[in-house]
Amino acid sequence: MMSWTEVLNALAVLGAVLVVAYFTAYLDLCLATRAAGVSLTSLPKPLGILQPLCITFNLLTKRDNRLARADHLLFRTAPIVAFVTILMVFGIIPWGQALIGRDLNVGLFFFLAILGPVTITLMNAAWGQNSKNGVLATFRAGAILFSYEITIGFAIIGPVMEAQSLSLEKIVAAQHSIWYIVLQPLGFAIYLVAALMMSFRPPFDIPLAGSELAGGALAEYSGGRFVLYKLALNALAFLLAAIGVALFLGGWQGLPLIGPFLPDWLWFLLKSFGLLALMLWCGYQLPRLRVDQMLALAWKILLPLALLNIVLVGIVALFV
Amino acid sequence: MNWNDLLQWIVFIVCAALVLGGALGMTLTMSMYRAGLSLMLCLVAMAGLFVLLEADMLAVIQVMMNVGGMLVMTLFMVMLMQDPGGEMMWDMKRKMQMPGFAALSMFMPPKPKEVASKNSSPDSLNQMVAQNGAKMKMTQTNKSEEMKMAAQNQDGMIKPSSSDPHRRLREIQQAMAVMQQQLVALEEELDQPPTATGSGNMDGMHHSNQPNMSSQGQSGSSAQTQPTFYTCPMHPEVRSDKPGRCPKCGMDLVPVEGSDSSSGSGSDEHSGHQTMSGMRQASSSDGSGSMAGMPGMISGAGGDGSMNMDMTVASMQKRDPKGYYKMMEGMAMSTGQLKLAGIFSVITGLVLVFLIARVAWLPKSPALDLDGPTRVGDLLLSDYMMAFEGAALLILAGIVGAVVLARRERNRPQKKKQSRIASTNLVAPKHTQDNTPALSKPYLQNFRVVQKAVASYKAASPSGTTTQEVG
Repeated sequence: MMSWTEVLNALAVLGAVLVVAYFTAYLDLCLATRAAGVSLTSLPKPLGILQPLCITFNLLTKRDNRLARADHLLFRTAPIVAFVTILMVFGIIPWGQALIGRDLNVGLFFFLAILGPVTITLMNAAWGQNSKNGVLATFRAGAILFSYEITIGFAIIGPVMEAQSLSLEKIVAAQHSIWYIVLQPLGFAIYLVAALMMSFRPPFDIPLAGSELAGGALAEYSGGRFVLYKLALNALAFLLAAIGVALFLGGWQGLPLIGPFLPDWLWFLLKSFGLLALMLWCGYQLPRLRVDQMLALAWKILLPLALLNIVLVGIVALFV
Repeated sequence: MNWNDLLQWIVFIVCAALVLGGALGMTLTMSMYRAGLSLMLCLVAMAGLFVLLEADMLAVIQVMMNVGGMLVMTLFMVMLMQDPGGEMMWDMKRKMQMPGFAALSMFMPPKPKEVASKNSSPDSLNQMVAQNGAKMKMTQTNKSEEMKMAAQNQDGMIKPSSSDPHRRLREIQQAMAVMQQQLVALEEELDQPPTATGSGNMDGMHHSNQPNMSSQGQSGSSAQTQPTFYTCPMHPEVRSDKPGRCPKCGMDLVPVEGSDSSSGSGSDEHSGHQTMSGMRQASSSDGSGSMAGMPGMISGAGGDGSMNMDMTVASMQKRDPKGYYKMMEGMAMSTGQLKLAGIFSVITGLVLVFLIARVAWLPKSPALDLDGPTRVGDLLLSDYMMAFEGAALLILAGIVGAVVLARRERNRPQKKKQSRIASTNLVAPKHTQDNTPALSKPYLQNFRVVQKAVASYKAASPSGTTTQEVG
């Protein structure tokens, strides 16, 4: 039924996206600063917490570039489509007990399928700008899609096998006694690598590589569209961490030994940002991978490991 | 009708419109990249229809399969085809002065009846002048008489003889043509020694106000000795004395009138440059058009691709609309097959409608959970059986069609295969040596050294510089 609560629900999801994207940007800023070996105290006070906001306003005052001879339809719609797509997937995140935009029966599958078009929008953005770097970025984004899609699909089969459901709500509830990271550490590791690929973060940021392609897919954006794309990419990174928490780290449930002395949504946020920080930090320690190295990693290493993981999970599910 | 029903209707109409629009867009756009995306949009919107029918699983499967599949298809087209952005075809349409929607489409224009008889825009004027010039060229033998006529027309231009405006326009244009011919001849006499014939042909290729006049003035002397030859619209290096098919792509060869030696001589580069400027002019003149083609893609993909295209466009500019039409007919990918495909799809649609209307559905059990393969199997065998059978039938037909086309292609004589992929260089730049393993120790150490250096630099510089790159 369509009602006011659903409209409020949707607005709440939108607000959540904006908030977490902001803090993801801040976390990224902190980690990038640290990775460059600079102390956080050198950021503008207080600890650079207002910095993403300042950059956003700065960018919004910039002019919207009009490219000559670009494919304007693709180029202009790309950030909007990316943002809307990610917004849709935020609806299935289980923030807490009964605190979920919409509990889909096929939630996890929805997450996988809907995030494919995000990569496509990145390809559109790169192709639409009609430059040589753009074409390279198009192919690199395509290569990323081929790398992560199969890998992450096999990685998330593990929790689905244990919980016997594709619904994220049920998967979280099934981890009441034991988190799946204990049962499937291999699956968790594979998920993390694939999630890094999927979020276009270092060391897999080849379509956006600043030092090679001068910004790649995002090179020609400016002003509002650039802000929107950055917002979408930050939200995407948080989304992947949040789904990882729901799949492997018990979702909104408190630590097993300490018990839930915090509200469930706070647990979920803490875990998600913790996992996000781990992912981003790992990424900043590694040099950027070439396309062939990334494809080799995905298809020659991660995919066999994921298959092995499925066998192990099957054995555990049967006999433990 | 309550609010909920209304919403469902709205969603249904939007999804259906997207499905149809995507299908239409795929067949009508000239950019292969856009065609792939349109097909993707069509199939994803179909997933929206599945959601309306409460078949979430099917919808998600639909999205997942088709996004990946269409993406692969698009990428292959972009990598392997010559003109993935559709610039060449689109430019041709532009030169045919097809307005609006038709200019964006693959749609075949009706055969031009009489050139530029109705409107008197500057472009059509140019064409007319060109045509008159061509007419005169055919009657080279009585050139002197033409000159006499021109002299008469110089008077007639000021006070036109007829009262019919079309006819008057025609007369004026004819006179202009002849005058320009004389002018060019005069200019040439003044500027250049008579040995430099042929370069004038190239002048006709850029968008100036007198497109073909200068070439006509000169080919008056050269066209008598140089025969008409035939070339492929896609492969200008293919030349033949008689009409036939291109050995590379199998398209019909089109006649090119004029001197053969001009394009082979040293003025090649010159012509390419002028053609490029002409193309630029053409694309900038359409202002805020929604789509600009992508010659940059071609030149980015392979070194020889751009030159090829330039030559093709250059050879095109010498043609009148009828010639364009013939070339388009040769280039259209579905001339003969289009009718067959249409008939087949109509028959398939009728059969499907008949089956859906006549065949009794299997009963579906409501007890099953939505979440699960059993439910999907149940749905496939009940609600969507006809749809899936139809899809399978269509795919089968597609495969058969592909095999037939491939066989036809194989039976055709082929001289030598030329790989365009060999010249494309779309691999990523390699930062390291090939034999260096990924993430090797020295590389990592280098990285750290650089990192340290950057860090020390940034620590030395005033605060705030590090934050610029993170948005």
